[in-house]
This record gives sequence, structure tokens and C-alpha cells, in this order.
Amino acid sequence: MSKEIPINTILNTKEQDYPVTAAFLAQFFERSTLLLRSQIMFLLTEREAFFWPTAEKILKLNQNIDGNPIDALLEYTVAFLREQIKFLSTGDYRYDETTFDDAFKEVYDNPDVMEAFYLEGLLVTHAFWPIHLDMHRFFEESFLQQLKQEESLGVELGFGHGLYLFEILDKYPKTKALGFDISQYSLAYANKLLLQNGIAADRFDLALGDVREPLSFDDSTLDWCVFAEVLEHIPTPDFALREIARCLKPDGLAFITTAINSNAIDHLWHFNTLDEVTAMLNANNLEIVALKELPLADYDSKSKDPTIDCAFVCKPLV
Amino acid sequence: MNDINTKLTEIFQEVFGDKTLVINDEMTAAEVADWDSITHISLIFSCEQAFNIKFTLAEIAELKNVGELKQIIAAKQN
Repeated sequence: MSKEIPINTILNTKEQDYPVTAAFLAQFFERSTLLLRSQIMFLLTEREAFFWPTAEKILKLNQNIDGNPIDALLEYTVAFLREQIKFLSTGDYRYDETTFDDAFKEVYDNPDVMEAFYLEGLLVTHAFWPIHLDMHRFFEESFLQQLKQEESLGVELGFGHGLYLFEILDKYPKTKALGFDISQYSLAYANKLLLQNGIAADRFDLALGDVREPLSFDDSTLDWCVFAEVLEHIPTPDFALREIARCLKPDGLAFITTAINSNAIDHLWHFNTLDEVTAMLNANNLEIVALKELPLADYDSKSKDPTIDCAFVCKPLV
Repeated sequence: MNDINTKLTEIFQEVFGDKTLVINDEMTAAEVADWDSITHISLIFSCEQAFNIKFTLAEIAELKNVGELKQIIAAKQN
């Protein structure tokens, strides 16, 4: 339903270097008459240098586990937008601090959501949603490149699809990773993503776990921690952050992200402002060393969507 | 189809905040300034509630114009 776009010209120049992405986009533009078209055109014109290699990497990861990325991306996007429209009308998220168990039952423990589109859809948004691509660039530049080359140990809490674990394990052959997630479907998906994309089984150990409970690490033992897109999903964000600060070594780093005024099929903790998030980090013994604020309005000033994503690199307050 | 057209016109006017908006079968998103991803889903959501129907992912993603939207609604009501 949007204006005709000379997409083929762009794809022809890129298909040799990025064949998987070029094929994906050709099919996507054939299929989607409106959804995400302007956002992807933005990526092709304004984020060209980072977009193509990132999209190719993510689509190949997905291809190696037999994904169906166009359907997953569209379904994840539609599910998000449906919730955001309800939020614009009511001001409320789908769940609240008292209904986490409902979110668990209806989303995290539901194969019709997790396996059908959620994990794969969220994975590919890191290439095809401008706001998530920029967040991924911040992850690479401000967190991933700062980690140590030597032997190290870290954890991801709420790893979901496993993309961040892949990035860390792929870049640093001497690091080992642990991971906890509340969803059996995340556990199966992330294990498959890592194993089928060349990460040796003895370099990571993923398990079911619940960040509402204490972490099973001694104080000051972790070199890094990833806690991405989890804060807005849990009823005890302060406790989880304090646990991260406790377990990080004094020179350890945490990558933490969340969303402000952004509903989804499983969000329950509603941050209204960036200040609320930074205050929560500081109150729970985390010092912010880098921050990226990503308001959707920066990408589309006319959009009615008030979403602001934000990402932080933190170290423990000594 | 006239009932559908009347209700659909009201939905378009409400979603786009324009009480003078007139729809026609050939109308596409390119002709309506604020017709983007979120207003598209807002239209779909309002149609689902007004006509008590549910759109499939393919119908939402591949919709070409207002005429096709009316046909889908009519088919689902029968």
C-alpha cells in the first residue's frame, strides 16, 4: 500500500555480497504491502553500512536452524503493534506486577507463541526494526568490543533467542557463557541456535532459571552479564539488578536494555521516563558507563507510537 | 456492502482523525498521509471489533487497497 520503491536496483547491487538478505528483502517487498516497508527503506538508505552485514549474519543464523523469518517478523510486528494500540488507548500494559504467572502461561510457556513466531520474530527484528538495529550496534560498539580477550566467564539472564550469547562466544574464543531463561522454548531455541552455528557445546551451559530468585554465583565472580529486554517483563526488577551488581567483578560489565512507554504481548513493568530507569540502575548498585536512548520518534516524527528503547553498559558501584 | 462502506468510513475517519475523509475502493496507503504501520494495525483492530471478525496475518500484511479490505470483511461476515 505504499508508494512504489525502486528496491530491485538496491538489491541488484548487494546480492553478490549479501545473498541471503537480498533474497529475503525481495520476498518481503513482494509480500508486505505496507508493514515495515518504510522502516526497511530507512535502513537501506540511512544505515546501509551496518545493516547489510548485520542482517546477513542474523538471517544466516536463522537459516541454519530452518527458520521462516518473513512470517515470524511480520507476526511479531503485528502482535507488538496490536498491544501498543491498546496501550495508547488505555495507558496500561497487558500485564502488571501481580500477573507475571499469567504472562508465563500465555507467552513464555506457550509453544503457540514462543515457537510459532516470538523467538524467531524477535531475533530478526535486530536486523529489520531500525530501533533494534541501532540497539544492536550499541551492543557491538559499547559492550562487545570492551570485553576481555583472555579467559572470562559471563552470564545472560533471559537469553531468549540467544543472539547476544552467539555474538560474545563467536567473538571471544576464550570466554565461556552461562545462561538462564524461564522459558523451556527459549532454552531449546538458543541451544539450537548456538550449536548449529558453530559454537562448541563445552563453551556454554544454558538452563532454566528465574531472575526473581537469587543468582547462584558468589560475589564478584562474573566478567560480564547481559540482561537485555528483561526488566520490563519481570515484577522484581530492583532485586534482579542488585543481584547482577553483586555477582559482577569490580571491572565486570553489564549490558542492560529496556523499553519505555512500550507495550508488548508480555510487558508488565511500565517505565514512563528514562530517568526512572537510570534511577533504578543507580539505586541498585550499578553505575552507567554508556547509555543509548532510542526514541521511535527519532525515526518517524509522525508516528503515534511513543516507544523509547534504551540500552546501558554498567559496572558495579564500588 | 453499503453497510460495510458506512461503518468503514467511520472507522477511517476515527483512525485518521479526519471527519471529512471519504474512502473509495482503489484507495491505498500511499494516498493517505498518516497511513503507516501503526495506523494500519489500528484500522485492522477497529474493523475486527466493529465487524466481529479476525484477520489472518496474510490478510493484514498483503492488503492492497480499501476495496480488498471490504471484500475480506464481506466474506468473513457470510
